Amino acid sequence: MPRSIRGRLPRAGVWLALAATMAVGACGTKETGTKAPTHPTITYWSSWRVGEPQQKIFADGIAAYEKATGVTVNVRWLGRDYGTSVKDAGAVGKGPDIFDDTSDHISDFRSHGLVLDVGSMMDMTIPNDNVKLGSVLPTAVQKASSDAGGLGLIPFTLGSSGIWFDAATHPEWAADPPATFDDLLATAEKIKAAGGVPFAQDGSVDGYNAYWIYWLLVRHGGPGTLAALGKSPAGWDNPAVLAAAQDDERLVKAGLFEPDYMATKYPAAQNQWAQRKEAMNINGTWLNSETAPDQVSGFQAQMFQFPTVPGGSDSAEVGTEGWSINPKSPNVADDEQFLLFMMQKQYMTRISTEALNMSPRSDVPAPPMLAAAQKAILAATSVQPTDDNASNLYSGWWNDVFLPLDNQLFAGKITAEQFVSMGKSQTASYK
Amino acid sequence: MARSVGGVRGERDRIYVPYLLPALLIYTFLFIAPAAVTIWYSFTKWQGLGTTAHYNGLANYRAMLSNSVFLTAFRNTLILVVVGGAFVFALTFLTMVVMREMRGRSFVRSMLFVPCILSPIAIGTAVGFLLNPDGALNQVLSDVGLHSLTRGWLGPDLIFKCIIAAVVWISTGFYVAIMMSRVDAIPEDLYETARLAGANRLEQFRYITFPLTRDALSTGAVLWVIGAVKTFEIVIAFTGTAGNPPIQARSAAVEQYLAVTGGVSGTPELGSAAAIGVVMFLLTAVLVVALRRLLRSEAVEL
Repeated sequence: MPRSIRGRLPRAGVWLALAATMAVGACGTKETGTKAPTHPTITYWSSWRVGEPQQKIFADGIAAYEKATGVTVNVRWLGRDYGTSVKDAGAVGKGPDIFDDTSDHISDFRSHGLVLDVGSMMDMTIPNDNVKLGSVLPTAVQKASSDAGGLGLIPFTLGSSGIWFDAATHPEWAADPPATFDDLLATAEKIKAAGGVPFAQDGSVDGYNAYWIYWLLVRHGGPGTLAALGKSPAGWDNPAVLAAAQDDERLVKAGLFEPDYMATKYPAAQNQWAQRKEAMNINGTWLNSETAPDQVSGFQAQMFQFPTVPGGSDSAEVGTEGWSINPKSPNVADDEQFLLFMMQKQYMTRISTEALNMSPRSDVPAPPMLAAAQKAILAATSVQPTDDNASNLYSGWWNDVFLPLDNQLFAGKITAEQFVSMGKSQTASYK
Repeated sequence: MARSVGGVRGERDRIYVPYLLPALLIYTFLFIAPAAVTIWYSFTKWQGLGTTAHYNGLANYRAMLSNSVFLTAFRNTLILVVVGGAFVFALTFLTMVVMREMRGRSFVRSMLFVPCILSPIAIGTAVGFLLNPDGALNQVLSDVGLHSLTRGWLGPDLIFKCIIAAVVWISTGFYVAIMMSRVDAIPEDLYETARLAGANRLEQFRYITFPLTRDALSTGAVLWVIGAVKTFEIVIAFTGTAGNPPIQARSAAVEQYLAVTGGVSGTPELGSAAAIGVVMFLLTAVLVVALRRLLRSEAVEL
């Protein structure tokens, strides 16, 4: 009796353990169906959550497409953490056919084998509008949506950054914003002299502090100046780098931010700006949507372009958000037709009017608060991605060398000269 | 005789094998195998599932040693373990001296434990409310005429000190609970005898409480080290997720998180993250072994 128990129980335990282990191993991302087409099914994983304006617009487009074609679009509204799900599912061959992507993450998704070159779609016709996709997407937008592997996404939104203000209290900036960096500093000094605080800054967000040096670098040296700093120590020898750092230092030394600006708990400073405690805030195109609940009555958020510097570049920043197609999708032709359907003017107009974002289509006006950014992008002779793409190309260096060093400059702890010499030596020793 | 004893013992030993096997298999699949895989990936350059891992020898470890940011994060972790630990256990001992004879001590003990069960998200929100430049703390200091003491508490210079204070505030109740349960088991007559012999409270602590709780202290100290080396969420609660935590506030676990995610915008470096994990494990192991040796003593039987 004891022997038989001894003989059987542990074996049962072993099988139980093995079953449990295999069950744990099987816990992955569920396949949502990329079945062989009789009625084709397209799977789409989205970064939007149910209830957000973009989700409503896309859901309407999907419903109309399904009705018009009989194709089923199996959509999952995953929210902002969708990227990991896409990569993990893609790794085991169960990724979606289409997923949301951003221009600064194309290379990352592409390294996982998840990005198809969609350049050929530029010659395809958008249904109902009867225009070629390439004819309504400006070259700058197409370029921003590409990496070395080609066009990585079909954009549904443009992003940029600049200096936000309240057009109700400063209507003069809407018509005639400070043209040069010196003008901006002079304007800020005037506000300070009158007892106001010119700039709100969430200094605990290093990426927001870096907006200043990034813009000054591309203004002084043109697109690529910041990215060159991460590429090799020689990038720091460019005289434009010191000039940009000196302008940054002037800004900091002038004391134009709210008290203890390096110690704010995000989003305290931008919300204070929305309550008119400060006049300006350097930020991304999303700031209006983010601060809308905190804006005082009558507040009219608007953004002007980062001012130029004498003899410098007037490039525009373009980042894009859009749809990427998985090369392993069994229905690439259907995926392309679906995206062309979604690019119709009726949906892209709603990106502007309902989501209050810039549409990528040149024939759709941006919402009023972003009109200046759209104008700059459409007129730009040269463009750069957000952060000059340095955060994407050299992310370790960006996090561990550049941002910490910029924080020191921006907190007034080091001089422009120290910034350049420390940057050069730290880049040399960073592996 | 010897042969038959050996036979019985051998039979008894073999009985354990099948009973042990399920646990061993589960442990192997869930702990040993992932640990081995992690160690392997620490010698590679790898961006995650779906990408190829390229063997690059000790490059991740060498990069870590030459990366001043990681060294700062490592130093911060050590400071947190040592300085934070000193505060936690000093406060715990103080509480043991004061609370042993206090009325309502179980209520106080519960109150001290409360921070331990608060969610880091709630703490993060409270931090913004309290420590912002125009937050409650600076407001109160100004109102009582101590304007000169107002600070940018969450700025790069002070944030790590604030984080240590918060960790001490959160953790102390936990160790008080562990140690006090041991103190409660000490017979009262020992203290009565000590009092009759003229021992004051400190002497009672030194000669009775401390020796009789030493084994609990050893366990508590090990738990502290393991927890402190992994310090992560409280840093994020203080700094938020909109940007990367400032270097002054980063712990080794935060550096690992930045390597896993690539930071706010960037590509993941899972090979580096694995190497950081291995170093954190080694640090924990070294500290735990050192602590066990330092606090080694025979448990006093009552």
